[in-house]
Amino acid sequence: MRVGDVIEDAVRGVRLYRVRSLLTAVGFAAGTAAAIALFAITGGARAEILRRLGELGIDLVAIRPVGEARRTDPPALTYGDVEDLRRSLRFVREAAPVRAIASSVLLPTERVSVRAVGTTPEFFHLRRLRFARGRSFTAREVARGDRVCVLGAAAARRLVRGGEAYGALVKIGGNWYRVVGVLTTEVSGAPDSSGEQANPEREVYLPITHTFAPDAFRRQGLAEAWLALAPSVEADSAAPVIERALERRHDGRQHFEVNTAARLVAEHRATRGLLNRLLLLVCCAAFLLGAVGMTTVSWQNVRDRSREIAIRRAVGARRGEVLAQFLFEGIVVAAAGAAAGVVVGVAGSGIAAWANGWPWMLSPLAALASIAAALGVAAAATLYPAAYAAALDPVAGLRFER
Amino acid sequence: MMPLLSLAGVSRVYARGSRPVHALDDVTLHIECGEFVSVTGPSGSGKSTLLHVLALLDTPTAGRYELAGADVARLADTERARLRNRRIGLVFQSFQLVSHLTVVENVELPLVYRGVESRARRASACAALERVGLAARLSHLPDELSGGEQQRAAIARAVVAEPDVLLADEPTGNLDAAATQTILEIFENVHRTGTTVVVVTHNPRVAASARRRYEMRCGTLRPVAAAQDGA
Repeated sequence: MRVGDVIEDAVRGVRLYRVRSLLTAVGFAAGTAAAIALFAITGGARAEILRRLGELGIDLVAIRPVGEARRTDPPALTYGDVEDLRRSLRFVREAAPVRAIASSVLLPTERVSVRAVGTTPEFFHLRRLRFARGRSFTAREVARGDRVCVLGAAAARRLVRGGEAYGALVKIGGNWYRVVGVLTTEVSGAPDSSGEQANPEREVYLPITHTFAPDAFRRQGLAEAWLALAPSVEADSAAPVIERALERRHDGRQHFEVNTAARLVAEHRATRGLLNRLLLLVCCAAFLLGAVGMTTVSWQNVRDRSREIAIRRAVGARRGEVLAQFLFEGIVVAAAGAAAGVVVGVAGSGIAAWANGWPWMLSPLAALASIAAALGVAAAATLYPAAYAAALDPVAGLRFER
Repeated sequence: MMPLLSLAGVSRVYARGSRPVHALDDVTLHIECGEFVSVTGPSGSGKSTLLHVLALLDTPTAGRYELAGADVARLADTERARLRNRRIGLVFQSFQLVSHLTVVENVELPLVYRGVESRARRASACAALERVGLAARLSHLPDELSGGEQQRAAIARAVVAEPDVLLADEPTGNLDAAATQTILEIFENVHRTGTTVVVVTHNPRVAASARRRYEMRCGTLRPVAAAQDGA
């Protein structure tokens, strides 16, 4: 018997009991949709972790303020904290404080809003930012309060139109700054602690001394700080020490988080773990229900068609061909359900991810794995009824009258 | 000349509860190629069991069964299915057409299991249906045909793969006199093409059309003497 004939027979068998087949397919559609959603959401989370790990690096620690701070509260993280950590903890090799403020640039025809990032030269090194032209500002320029700046590639295009940004003068927040460096475009965005999208390509970098009020240099809050550790120190061992040191400075209050690569992974596992487990449960439950439904329906089909099976055996069908016929009927139903499930899963998880701001990423391999799981479950669920059909005594089946 | 079908001391015993039932008891039968043989007998005498053994649907408990000189009594199921598909055509009293397949699809079935390509098997099925006068009923479902037409379709299915032997179990049992006559004529035509025909029947007219006749009683087979012909 040809493969095409087996499939044609299977499709015919499915159409023979449309309602049964439809109800069975629903279980497989639900299972596949849940599997697709699971893969898409975990795939997106994994991609986000990888991106943030790439941003963080294995020897870096990021410190960020957390929670809603009242106006009367002291800042959760200050320039003074970072300076103190650098001085007191010997394993801190370099530190880069970051202060972000909303500012504006005055162009001849318009005022453009920008995100001004006050930092030190170490920032560019620790974040692995590369320069298309020029250099970062120096420690001496920071200390002296020179009016120099570095522009992200997109910021350079926006703020210096029709000319060379490097060396140009840009008026930021009412003061003129000379552009000493322009970044390449090979950088990607990362949300900062406030949820605002940080994107080195679009930002304007100033010496950190220019972003503080003159009398509050050490007390005003930072958006984040990056610490580079000595090569012999593991970030996970260093993080608790840093936390304790900061807590001591803040009278035991902990309004900050200390992120390392491992902590990021753990954080993502914790936040997405419940959803993933729920989806996995839905996926398994739906496939299990589909499998039970399919076994029941296949069993009923075999019983209803014992005479047909006997006729086929009488004209020369081998047991394997009868088994294949019923097995493929199950697989055809599951394939139809899985196809619907892919559509529902992609649309549903896409909408859920969009509405909740989750990253979404579905690899074709994951989609194929979901479909393969549906087909595998269907084959397993149909195997026993199909084997029973194949083993039926044709003489007994031919005696059977409708 | 080697017989096409040869049974030697064949028995078939069923266990019904604790009591054994001897459906076939030491049956010996030799049928040459191209013969037309009938088997008569009362209900429960073992006629259908004999046909099922000949058709390789059932296995003898004892004895030897040779098909074209080869011992087939204890072949594996796959090989029996292959022989059924290639050498044997079967016709049943209740037609045994698959109800959700059209007439032509039913007739194609043996060729499907032979692996014949769809266009070639459609042509063969149409030719077989034309031989039994059903060329105009190709796309009908079995339930849309009369009893006689369904049996003609079943005969077309039995002969479409050009078997060596056509085995018929009460082929006219559900038909009226006119339909019986048509079926008999078709069997005659099939026989004339050189196909061996074995008919199990209650109908004396059908039995009489055979060149050689047997009678079964309580699982034993005996030839019907020439003097009894026309009885």
